[in-house]
Amino acid sequence: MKSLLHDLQKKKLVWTAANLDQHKERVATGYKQLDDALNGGFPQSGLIHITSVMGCGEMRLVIPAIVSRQNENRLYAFIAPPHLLNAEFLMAQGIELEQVLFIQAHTQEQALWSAEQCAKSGACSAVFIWQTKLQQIQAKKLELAALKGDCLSFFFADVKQQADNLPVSLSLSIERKNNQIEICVNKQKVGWPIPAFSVKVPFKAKLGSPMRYRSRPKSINNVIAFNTNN
Amino acid sequence: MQFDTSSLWIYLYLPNLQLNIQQAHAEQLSDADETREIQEPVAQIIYHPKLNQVLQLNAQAQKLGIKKGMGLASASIICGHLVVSEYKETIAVQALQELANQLYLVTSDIVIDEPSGLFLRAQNMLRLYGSLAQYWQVILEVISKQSYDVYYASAYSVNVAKLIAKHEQHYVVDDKKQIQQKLQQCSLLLTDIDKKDIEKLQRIGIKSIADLFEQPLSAFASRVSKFSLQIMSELRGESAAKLRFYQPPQQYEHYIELLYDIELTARLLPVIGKCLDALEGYLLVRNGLALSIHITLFQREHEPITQVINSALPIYKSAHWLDIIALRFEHLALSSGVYGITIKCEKIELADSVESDFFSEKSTHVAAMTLLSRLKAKLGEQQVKLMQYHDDYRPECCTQLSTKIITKNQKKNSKPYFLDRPGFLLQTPTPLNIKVSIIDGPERIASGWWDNHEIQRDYFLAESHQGQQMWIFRTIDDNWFVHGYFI
Repeated sequence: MKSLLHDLQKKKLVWTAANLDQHKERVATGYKQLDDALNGGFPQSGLIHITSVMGCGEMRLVIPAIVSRQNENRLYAFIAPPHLLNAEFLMAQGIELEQVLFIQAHTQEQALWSAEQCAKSGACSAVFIWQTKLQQIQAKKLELAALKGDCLSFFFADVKQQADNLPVSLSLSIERKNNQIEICVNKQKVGWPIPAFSVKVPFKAKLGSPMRYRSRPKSINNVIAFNTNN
Repeated sequence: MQFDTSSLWIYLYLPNLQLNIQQAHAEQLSDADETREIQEPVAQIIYHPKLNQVLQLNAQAQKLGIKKGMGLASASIICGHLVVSEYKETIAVQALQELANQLYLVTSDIVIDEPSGLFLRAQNMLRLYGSLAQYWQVILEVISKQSYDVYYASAYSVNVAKLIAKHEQHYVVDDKKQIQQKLQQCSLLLTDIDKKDIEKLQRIGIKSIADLFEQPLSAFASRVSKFSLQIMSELRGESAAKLRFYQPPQQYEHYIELLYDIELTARLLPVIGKCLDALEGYLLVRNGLALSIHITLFQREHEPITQVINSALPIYKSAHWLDIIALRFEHLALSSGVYGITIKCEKIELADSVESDFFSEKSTHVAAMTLLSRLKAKLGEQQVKLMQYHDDYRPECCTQLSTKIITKNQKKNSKPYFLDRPGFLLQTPTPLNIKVSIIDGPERIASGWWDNHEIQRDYFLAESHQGQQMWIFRTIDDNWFVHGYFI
């Protein structure tokens, strides 16, 4: 019996509360209700599965967390997004463009290979993947790669395409209802699934006339030393 | 370049280069073929057809009585089963260059004297090695790796060293008197002086080097050519020779021929690994790194394939290169067997000794660059891109993708004016064909009349009943399009 358990542990099929390293510290998401639901925030590393309609604020929900987690100029890898990424948006969210890696892949196989390489290299702090469907084994690979490379991987999938039993660290489904985002925690490693609750995800700036937010870049070298001795 | 007559030179005289190389090849073959019995050595000569002269000959041929300068007819009368090979200067020159390359690692100033000699300037190496004996020990070690017949001599003039060495001497001293004595014993015939001029000199009674020293140089000025006069004055130590020092090539190129044809890329990789080990050794000695290497595979029945392998970070280790190459070769299809491989590295980067702080950022940087190399090798250069922001009002012009890495200095310190832009932009706007409610707007963007890409659009933020937040616009002629999604 013991040897069977040992075997399973070796294959990493059994998860024990003893290896809680991943969950000792959480990454605050910036949204209070979400933090409360997730025992303090996202895990430090691992694969996070987010189910939503494209364009309901799923990225804006996670970006504050990954920006706050950023240190040592590690990269953000965007792998095979369905549309072009907008540099202006990323900059407005506080992401340095020189740390953005944009990878186009022809096949799903290539995309997942790139994702795994990025995640386990240790050079990326966050990896974003858009795919319609992931198989169990693919998700497991990505999860282990993310844990190895201390990386947060986000897997964005369209609604109801994906069965909910993937071996991920966290699974959320998001829906937009009346100006707010309704989040449902389907699965998390250190807690129970939590029924839907609402979070308000803002546009970064208040809407209105864009000319109001036009700010001239301040020149840096305009400080003149004033010598008090004279 | 011109040098004073007081620095010490060493001349290496390698008269039998082609013969030595051929013998080495033959030995390798007989080593491989163990069954063959040890045979009586064969008389072997290198023959110059145009001059009709025997130029190089082995010990066996010498024993039979064949001499240098003989014609082919007389040589073949002496020995019936003579092995004759045609003289090719390129073989010797190539061997000299290789030898110079090896010597360059231990001594600085080398001059190749085609077709059979090398000058080494010993004077400026003496301080480094301490004394002539120690310096010479190091040089001998390099030379003895090859099984060439080598004669050498040292002197305080280029031509004197050459002349003494040509008398097949093994003579390295730095005593001026001894050298002078040795020079007196030399024959005038082996100098570089024109043959016709030597004849003229003999007619006026100059038959040995000693005679040459007795008369003032001006006495010969009208009798011999300018070239001969120059050599004579150099022999007397009155003027310096003009020499061009050898510069080893700045790029690495190595070709190996395979023992048998290989058709599978997986089998090719260990062989390439061996070549990369050689490259690694080359770069290591020079404290160099490589950013890109060219691998050419010569196929038996098809055109050679050339692959350029790039690395985002300069590296030299063969294991790292092999890692990238293996990814690239996954897609490579060979049409027929490969019989030869060339590895070329055109530009060698100098390893930067002034690395920044050991603990900060470095490991991430190396990891990032290794990742980039791997991704580019597998997916192709064009699939992996970096982003840049371009200051423009037109949304489609803001984002620029490039494959090049931007250094921090080039980075434009610009901030976006607008904070409410969508995360995804459609490559081409699509007509709006679902029902949406407008949240905010309009925002008019009219720009680009100067570069033939004029737009005038009223942008709105809209939301569909599914909850998708979209960026839509209305054109002047009242058509509605979707341009992006707020993710």
